[in-house]
Amino acid sequence: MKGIGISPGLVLGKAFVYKEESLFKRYYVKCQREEVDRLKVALDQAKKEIELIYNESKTLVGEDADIFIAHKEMLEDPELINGIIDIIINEGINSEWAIHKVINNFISLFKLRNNEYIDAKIIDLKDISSRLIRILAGSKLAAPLEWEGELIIIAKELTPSNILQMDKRVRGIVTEFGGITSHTSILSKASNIPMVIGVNNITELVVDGDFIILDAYEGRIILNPCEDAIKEYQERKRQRIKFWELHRVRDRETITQDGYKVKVTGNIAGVEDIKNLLAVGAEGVGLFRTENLFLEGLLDEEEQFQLYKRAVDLLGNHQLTIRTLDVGGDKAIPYLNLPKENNPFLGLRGIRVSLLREELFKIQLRAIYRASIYGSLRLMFPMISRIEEIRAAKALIAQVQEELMKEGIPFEPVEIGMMVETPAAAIHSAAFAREVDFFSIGTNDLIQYTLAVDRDNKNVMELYDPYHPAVLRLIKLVIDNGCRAGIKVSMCGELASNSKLIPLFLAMGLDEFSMDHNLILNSKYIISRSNRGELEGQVDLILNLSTSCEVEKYLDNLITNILN
Amino acid sequence: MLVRKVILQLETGLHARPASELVKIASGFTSEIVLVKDGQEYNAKSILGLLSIGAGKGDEFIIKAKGHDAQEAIERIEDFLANRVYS
Repeated sequence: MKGIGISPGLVLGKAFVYKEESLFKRYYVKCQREEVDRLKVALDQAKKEIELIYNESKTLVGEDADIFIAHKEMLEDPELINGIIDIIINEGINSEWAIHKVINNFISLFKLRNNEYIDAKIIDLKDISSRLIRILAGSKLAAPLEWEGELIIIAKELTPSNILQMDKRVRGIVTEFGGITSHTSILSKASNIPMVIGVNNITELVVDGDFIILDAYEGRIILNPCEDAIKEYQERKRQRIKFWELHRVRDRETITQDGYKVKVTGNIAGVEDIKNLLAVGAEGVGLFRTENLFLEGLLDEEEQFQLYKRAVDLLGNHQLTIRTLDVGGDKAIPYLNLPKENNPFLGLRGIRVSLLREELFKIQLRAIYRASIYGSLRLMFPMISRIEEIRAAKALIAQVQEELMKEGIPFEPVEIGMMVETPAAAIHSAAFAREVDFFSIGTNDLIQYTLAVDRDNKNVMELYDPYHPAVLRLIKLVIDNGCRAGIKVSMCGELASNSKLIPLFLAMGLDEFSMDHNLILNSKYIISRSNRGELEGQVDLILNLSTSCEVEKYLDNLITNILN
Repeated sequence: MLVRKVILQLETGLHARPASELVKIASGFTSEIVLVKDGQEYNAKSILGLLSIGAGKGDEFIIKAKGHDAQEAIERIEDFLANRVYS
């Protein structure tokens, strides 16, 4: 069966068919005076309820709550009240029937006008009528209490009040009539109750207790679904939940099930990448590859300063991690006139170039320090393999700071970190941790240097292996040493966004995962589904496995369990 | 009893806010106030009554008021319907 989905959602539930007529009978009263008093008590009660509903719905839907003011005006209408009282007194019948009669009279008058605006008021009349009748009957719109699980209300038409006074078990609504922009629709949306309208004869086709799949995304209803349909429903429901959870984690901090907080940040090559990062919920930049800024030609200090300043501006409260110029290896910049090498990956790269070309390096350092007063930033050096390199770089920073001070240019203290991407840096990380404020593990180079494999070389490509226990043990060593020294450890290589490895690094104690923007949501989701305490006990077990294949299989199982 | 003829000048007709506004004005007087349209009488203090007229701009009404504040009431309501105070 098809209808129009107006409030999204997907539910499987038990049907409860709501028939208003069943709520009241017509009978003669013994004493008309007493019956009028009964009506007046109900009128007072109705006005009180409406005030409560008005206040509640005002926070839900704002101005759309004004319909309840109109309801209250109607309940105070002298023609309405006197009309009902006249019938009770003159005909001697009960309040419910008198209300029914007077309201129906107004409804037919309204219909005569053939006016869109006045037609829209008919639902308000029905709403106050059913409210009064319900109060008089002393009952609630509800399924039998012993019914468990999720309920789907089936009705010809529902009023805004019906929605707000729904039984908590109600997880879906199907009606025969109703408008897309009606207040009933607006309220069901605001209350997150999936709703489909315009399903012909549904109240005739469904009986209480029927099972129904309500797909309000597509306006579809499946009555008493077969096993296959239920399976398909469950699969779609899982996907929907994942979709929603992905969007939920986007705007939140990344916290594991057991309350451990980490950061998921982004890798960028230019300032224009920041917008994409923030759109997917990145909590800062873990790697700004500045070498791309130099591909077209040298940037002077002012140009660089403007770029870094714009980056911290865009990031607001989030932190920017700038990696100083990392050329050499596969990243050649012709105008630097670096010597041609037989084995560039083991040659002049990263910090080695910067220390050789101090004048270039100092321009970048000056630009970074000048930008430091505009937001939260830190810097790190690439390709460190010796303590002396860190000390030399820090000596240059001291010079730059002194110059800036002399020139009266303001700057803030900046955290100084290093990439850990050579086996030497990893193995000796306890000593490096005493020299820097943070580590950032660069996994691509760390793997290639540890395993002696060039992943662009077709002959050995397959040996490039992120699950190699030696690589994982080195990473664990770096995290442990960072942790012991009390400095933060992040990772900005491809492994940081590897779904299978994220739980392992999380268990090891990694503080920050930095990656390409399109993997951020997924990684935040995995971390927020993980329980770090449970994973921690498995780290040694994993590192003691002999082969990459065993490691990968184990981690594959782990991630499947986390995501299910 | 005071009687006066008026032509409805409210842009949106006698719907929604204007109708509810008129009920508020009329309810502020103790006099009995009715609007007559096409020979039919409607209580000016009844929102449902006013809505069921379904009146649009340009419609002609007769206002009737009976009671000790009838004079003031009829003037206020005439001003309102002729859009001289309501905007």
